[in-house]
Amino acid sequence: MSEYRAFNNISSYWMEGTGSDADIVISSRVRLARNSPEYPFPDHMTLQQERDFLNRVQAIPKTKAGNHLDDLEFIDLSLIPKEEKMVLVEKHQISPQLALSQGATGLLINAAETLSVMINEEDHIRIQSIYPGLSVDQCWEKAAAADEMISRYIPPAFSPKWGYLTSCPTNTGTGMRASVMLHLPALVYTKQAKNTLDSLGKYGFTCRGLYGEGTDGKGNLFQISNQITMGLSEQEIIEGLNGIVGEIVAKEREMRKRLLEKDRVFLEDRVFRAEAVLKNARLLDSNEGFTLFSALRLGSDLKLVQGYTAKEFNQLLLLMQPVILEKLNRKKLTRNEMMKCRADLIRNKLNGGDPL
Amino acid sequence: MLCEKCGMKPAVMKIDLIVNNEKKAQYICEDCAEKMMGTYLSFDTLNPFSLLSGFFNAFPVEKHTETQCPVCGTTYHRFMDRGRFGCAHCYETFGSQLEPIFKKLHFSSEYKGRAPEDARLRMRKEEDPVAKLERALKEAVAIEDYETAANLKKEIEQKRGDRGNE
Repeated sequence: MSEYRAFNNISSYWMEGTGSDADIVISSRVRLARNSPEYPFPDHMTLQQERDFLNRVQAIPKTKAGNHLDDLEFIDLSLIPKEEKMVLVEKHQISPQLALSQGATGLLINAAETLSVMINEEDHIRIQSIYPGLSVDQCWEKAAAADEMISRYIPPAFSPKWGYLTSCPTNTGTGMRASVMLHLPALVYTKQAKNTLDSLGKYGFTCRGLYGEGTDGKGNLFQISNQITMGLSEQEIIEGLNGIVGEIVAKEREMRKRLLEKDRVFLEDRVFRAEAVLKNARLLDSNEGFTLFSALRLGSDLKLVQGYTAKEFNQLLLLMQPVILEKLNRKKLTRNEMMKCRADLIRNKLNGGDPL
Repeated sequence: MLCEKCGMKPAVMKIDLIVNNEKKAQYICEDCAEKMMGTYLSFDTLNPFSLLSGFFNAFPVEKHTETQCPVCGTTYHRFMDRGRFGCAHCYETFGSQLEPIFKKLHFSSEYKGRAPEDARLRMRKEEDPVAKLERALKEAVAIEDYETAANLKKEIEQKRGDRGNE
């Protein structure tokens, strides 16, 4: 097992279930893409160039400014086995392509896991900040502070005409992707999700299921993010995102209210069935788990069932994923072992235990 | 582009393999990625490679306009084909050809975000002499050195006064 704390923490701070609108907005994130003009973009870098650049970034946490910013830990990802890296993918700390790449890649990450910096991904530097609830402003502040600190050591490729120069033209300009993760069960149950979410494109935003293709995401979980990085300042993009998310949250609340008033029996049936299965199942696959999780969480938000917290639900979400389960068991699991382990952990958790 | 592993589904991501101590790109689909990862592909952190496929067909490349970046060797043709720049200098090389692409992608080709200089300016502001004196004043008060505090206060007022007259 790796000695780095990021592989041994099961939770990240974004799972706390705090922050504004935390019943619907699970987490917020801001990502900044930056590059050095001194090297070709990672796509075109040789292994030696990647190694050189990695060494330069590795030195930053040891500098005075780096130390001042946060308790960043540097991880040379080329030395970490794939299974360990997948823990970071499941915690949404690194991208799948960074985890699968065999090149010289790295990560800077703080203890709370609210700040991470991917090195040699699609761009040389990808700064990411995640906080719980609707907190895009807080994410921006954190990411911008890290950007300022890092650019003292690695001046970014920037042109006054185009802005920050990135590998992909969809990021050129601010290099910023601001996003929120939403739980929208009532919009899905009332068949309003598609209409609501498809209309985002004309405002320069996009929405998709967090897992799986299209807008029928597993667990009724969706991600909304900005598409455009030119023509608007970072602040304007964030204000736009906050506005749109506010409207979607209001619509979800309205539909929740309508379900309670007009379809209470249907709703109660879903919620209590979900609770009964999760509290008693002996084998649970992740698809069923996602669906039941969503119904129970909604029931808890609407006070149909008592005694659950948003933090517990966020931790349950983590248990739907395979690598975390293997990590908790410290061994590789067969499909059946995985289903049994998931069911056991969730049953124990919902009946008052604390498996994490 | 189809998945280079199974050849069945469209590629959504690019990963780097190391073959004979050199990097080799491989483009893979969602299914193959999940198989390799042993977990689900979360779109939270993915940079979908397929986002641009087909997009660049709207901009036909004329042979005689072929330009090549002198720094990394990326040709305009390759840029259009892959949807990726080779290095920061490509932007200068492809120059005005980029305008319509950005307009289509972002509804605008005008940059309105902040500049790295903003950060430097902010840092200079932090070293503002008045701010420095104020910090010293706070420290003096904390250790109950009222004589120094009084002098610092006078100095701050004087500096503020100078500024007001500017």
